[in-house]
Amino acid sequence: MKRILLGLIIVFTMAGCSGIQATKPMETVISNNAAVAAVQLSTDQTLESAKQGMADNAITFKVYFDAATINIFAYWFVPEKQIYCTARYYNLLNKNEVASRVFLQNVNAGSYADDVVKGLYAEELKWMQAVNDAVQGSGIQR
Amino acid sequence: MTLEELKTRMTGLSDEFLAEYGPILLKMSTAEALSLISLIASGKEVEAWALVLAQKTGPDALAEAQAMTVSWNEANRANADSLALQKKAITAILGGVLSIALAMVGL
Repeated sequence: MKRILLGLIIVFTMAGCSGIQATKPMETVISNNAAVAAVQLSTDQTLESAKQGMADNAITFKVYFDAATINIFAYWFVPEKQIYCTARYYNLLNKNEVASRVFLQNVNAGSYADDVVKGLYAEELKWMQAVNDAVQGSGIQR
Repeated sequence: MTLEELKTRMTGLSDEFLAEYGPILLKMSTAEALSLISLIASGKEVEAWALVLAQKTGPDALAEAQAMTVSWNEANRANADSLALQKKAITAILGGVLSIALAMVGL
């Protein structure tokens, strides 16, 4: 019986450490942002709205990365507040945060052609959806 | 310095690496190149990557963004597969627990 209980504990621990485990408020934010991203992706964006959207995204990705960083430390001390268990996701969030910031700087400097700006914005929206997919344990391909 | 000269000097680097990053490195000022070297040397890979990314201002920037989307897709697919496997394992264990529980009550 002890062995079975140990097995159950291991399996449930594994389940807890898979993908992204967001705190409830963070999960809501991530879910809402993904819903907005879906709407944005389904409609043609003007150049100005894409630029504004990229400015918003840079802030959002920073919030995600900061939350992941804080909660990685929280994970060691407060297990129920774990958020990002895998290094893979943590690195992706780190790169999202950096890339969105770099893209925004170049947008503001006028370094990109209009179609590149719109294309970059669309990819950022897909990342926004992908973060939510990770939280939900979904394998949807964006 | 031209790309060809860079290839001649940097014999330890692959042609693919130099084809991708060579033109960007050549565009950098000395200060930027030194920053890049310093970041790589101190293991700050993401910051080094940011410096390179900032130099990509054409379709190559979009290609980088698309590559990141692919990375997300791969991570999420692997995560979903892992979750499905864990569910199977949990079901199998619970099945075992149920058998024992039934045996204990004589069913």
